[in-house]
Amino acid sequence: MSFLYGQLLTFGLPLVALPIAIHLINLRRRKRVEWAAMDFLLASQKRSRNWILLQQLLLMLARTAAIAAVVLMLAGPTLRSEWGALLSGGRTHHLILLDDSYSMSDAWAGEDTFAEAKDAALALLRDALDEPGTQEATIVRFSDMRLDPSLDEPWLPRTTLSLESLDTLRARLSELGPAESDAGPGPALSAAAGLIEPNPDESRIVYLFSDFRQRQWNEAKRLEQQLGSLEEQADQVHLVQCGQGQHPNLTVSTLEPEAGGRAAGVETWFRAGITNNGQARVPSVLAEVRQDGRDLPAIDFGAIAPGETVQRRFRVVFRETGWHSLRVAVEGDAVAADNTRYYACETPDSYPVLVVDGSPERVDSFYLRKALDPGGKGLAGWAPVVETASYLRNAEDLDRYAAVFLLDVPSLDGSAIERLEAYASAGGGVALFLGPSTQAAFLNERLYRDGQGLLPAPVDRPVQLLSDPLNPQADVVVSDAPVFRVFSGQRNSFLSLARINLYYGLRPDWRPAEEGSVRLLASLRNRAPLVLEKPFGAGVVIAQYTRLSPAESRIGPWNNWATNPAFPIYMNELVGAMSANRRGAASAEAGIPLAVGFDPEGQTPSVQAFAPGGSSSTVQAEPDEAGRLTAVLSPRPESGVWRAEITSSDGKTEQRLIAVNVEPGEGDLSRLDGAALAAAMPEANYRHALAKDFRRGEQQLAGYGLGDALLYALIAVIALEQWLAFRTGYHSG
Amino acid sequence: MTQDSKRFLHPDAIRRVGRLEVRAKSVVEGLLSGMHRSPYFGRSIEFLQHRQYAPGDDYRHIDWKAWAKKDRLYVKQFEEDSNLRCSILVDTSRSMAYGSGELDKFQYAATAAVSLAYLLLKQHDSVQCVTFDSEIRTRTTLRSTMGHLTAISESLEAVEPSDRTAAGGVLERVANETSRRGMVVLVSDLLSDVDATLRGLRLLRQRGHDTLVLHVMDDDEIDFPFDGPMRFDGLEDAQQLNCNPKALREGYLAALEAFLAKVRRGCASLGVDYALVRTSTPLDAALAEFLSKRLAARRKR
Repeated sequence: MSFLYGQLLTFGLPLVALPIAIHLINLRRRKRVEWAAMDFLLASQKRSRNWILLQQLLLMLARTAAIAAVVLMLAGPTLRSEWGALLSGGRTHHLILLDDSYSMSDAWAGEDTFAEAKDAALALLRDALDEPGTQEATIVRFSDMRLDPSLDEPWLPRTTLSLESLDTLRARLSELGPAESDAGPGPALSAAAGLIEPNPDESRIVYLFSDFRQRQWNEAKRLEQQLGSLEEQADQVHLVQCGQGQHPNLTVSTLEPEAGGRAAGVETWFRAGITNNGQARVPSVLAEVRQDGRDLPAIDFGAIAPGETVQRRFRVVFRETGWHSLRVAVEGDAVAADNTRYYACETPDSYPVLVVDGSPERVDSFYLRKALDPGGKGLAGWAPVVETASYLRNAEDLDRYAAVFLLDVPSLDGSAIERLEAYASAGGGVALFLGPSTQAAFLNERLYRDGQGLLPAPVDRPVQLLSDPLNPQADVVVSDAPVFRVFSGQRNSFLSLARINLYYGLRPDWRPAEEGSVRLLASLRNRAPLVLEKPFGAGVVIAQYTRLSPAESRIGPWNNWATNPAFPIYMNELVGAMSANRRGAASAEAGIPLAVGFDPEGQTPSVQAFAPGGSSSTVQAEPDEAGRLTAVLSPRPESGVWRAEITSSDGKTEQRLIAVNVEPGEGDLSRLDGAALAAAMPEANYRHALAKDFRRGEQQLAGYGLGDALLYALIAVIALEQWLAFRTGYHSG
Repeated sequence: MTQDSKRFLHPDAIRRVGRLEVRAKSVVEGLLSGMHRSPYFGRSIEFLQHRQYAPGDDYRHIDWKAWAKKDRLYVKQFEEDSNLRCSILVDTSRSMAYGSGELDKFQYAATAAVSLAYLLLKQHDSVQCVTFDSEIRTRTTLRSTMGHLTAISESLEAVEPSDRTAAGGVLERVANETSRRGMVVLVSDLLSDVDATLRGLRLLRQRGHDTLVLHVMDDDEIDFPFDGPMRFDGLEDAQQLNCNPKALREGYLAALEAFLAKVRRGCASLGVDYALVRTSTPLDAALAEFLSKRLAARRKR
């Protein structure tokens, strides 16, 4: 048993002697009467002497017990698994699951949620130390378990509590801050089940300290099941709510180029989004933009309603080749971690694009080259490299191409197909343009392969799109896919002039293997698919079922699209979308181990890591399964732009920038209170408490509160006292 | 009895009357003014006086001749024989000194004794007063003159309650020393050996004495109303008792009731007229009630 206000016992327990003292004082203060009829009095006293003495003794005991009960009740006694302690030799294991996601950094009026959670946890363990028996504690952070649920080395491994270990823990906790992670309770609850395997020799209490953000606890059914399985192993499960209210919070939710990064000197449109995660409308939001450490004009996002995300486009030009960074930030609010978003990318002079041209006289690649690399001042940042189909057979360096175009290729051999598929699987983009040279059988058998190959849909035969003077609609109807988004709205006028004469019809019996596996990007006015997109591994394949160029063929010209002013835009958007993954921006999520991989040839395994704060460290790269070297710059990186310097054996250093960002969803501070939790998990058997009331509610948290029991005991004792007092004549009837 | 007389005969009023003799007279005058059937008047042959008839008077004593002459009803009063010899025994033991009201038991008993003496002397009976505790302390001579009342009063006023009660021995001694049959009135709280007291009373009855017991007790002794921690010191002995009186009240009242029952039964079996009087009761009313009961008992006999 322990007491919330143990010091009250020091002052209160001596009061137990009060009835005895009053009794002794009364012995000296008796009223004296000279009495005649002593015989009757003595007879009465003789007759009931023992019973009266017993009653008076009981009365004194009752009064003493009543005072003791009041004192104990005020002292807040708590019985913590006494039976369990009795049976187990008094060993209690306190397992604390600590939510350290960045929403826990929610600060208000000089306080913050995470500090509240730490204080409550420390208070809990300090009071546990007062308990009889051996007290042990384990502390698990959500972020640790997210990385590795089977982690056998939690933040605080199972430790026997003592004054010294508590001091050490206090010092460690004072330095512990919330991670920039969005780790939810699921992994921690799974891990907890492993950390408290049933053991009849101890009692086990699990405490989960969290802010219970709606987003993290929205999978209530699964969490309820996890809590259920945890309750089977633990004697008690406590959910301790930290923080209070929902404070205003703006989150920079997106910062990305609209179609991947561009080459040096090429204008790139970026899109930034800001989400209002507060409950009140923010009338004016201004975001600060910095490119490579230099301020750009701020972006006015205007007013943002609660729950709304507002996006703005802005233009950026990375003039120099090499690595660049970009940062968008809003003013500080309740949660600081989500106020800034970073972007880092490498901008070369140009990105090589492989064009495999199977058309007669390579006429198709001519139009593509002109579209991607017009020369002169028309800088697009692409460097098309035109090759024949045989090139693919031995191409070892497909990885260096930002994208691969196959133009009217009649056929490819097996090794070429394998290389292309490997390229796409690894994140590359492959564009297929059919044409007069294309062999339907080859396409269907080798490239489609019942949906397993690159081709999104099997072809049937070339079909002519008959002109329809009565139908004013454009031949090409585009979707709102990123590739064609630039043509949406009023800017679609040139595209409407594109005329399609011939196209490959799809096999009538074809249906996508599964919903969403093939996406229609553009169709003809007769609703026949014209451009299809198919995700392939980490990459993407985009197939156009008509020829690229307007050149004549045996059955006539296929279309005039390549002569349309919209064509270069289309091609640039297409290659941009396809190559976005490969040009991708070096980004990572905060709290997840940050690694850089590189080819071991000619490189030393020693990598210099520079954190956003400026600190640096040297890490050793380890070879991975693919034979590449991988260096972990930080196991739990903070958000910002990280820099890695890889040194080659000849002393040259290669620099890489990596933007590390927090998961923006964690900035949503809406939370579930006790009633909402109970409603979401009606079957779960747990105790809910508020961390701010932790001291007061500790009796419920850490054991069985005896306040009510003492109150009932007090009532019973007072009733007994009244009865005895009446019986013994100290009270009037 | 009128309301005014009642008011003046209340113990607190009597107490203000200083001398015992005067006190007794006021009691008796009050008593007689309200008692229309005298317990002693009317037994003589010699006519004394006429008195106007009042409701309650014996019809046999109406003087019809006087009614015929004056058209009013008169009763005839006769001078009674004064051959009654009455000994009034007043307990002066230490226990009689207890009193919670205006009069303690002794004062009440003394007043009652003198009042009785006055009543008897008015009837020309011979009266003597004996005070006693463990033995006889004072004894007046037996006389029937009204002036003897002063001697009786003075003998009682001179006494301070002391020593233990031993009524039994005293009664036996009185019985042995009084040769002629007469009336013996014992005024006491009877807080002594009840059996010895009853033996004494039996002896008196055996000697042919008309015996009366006026049992005087204080309200406290009968009701035992005490509360809170108290220490009781025995008046007649050195016994002490620290107690919570409420706890003992039930047993006390039971013991008292047993004592009173024993006294009542003993007196009844001996033919002794017995009356229990609270010191808070107006003395005239107490005496009237006592004497009325006695008269009624006589008639039954």
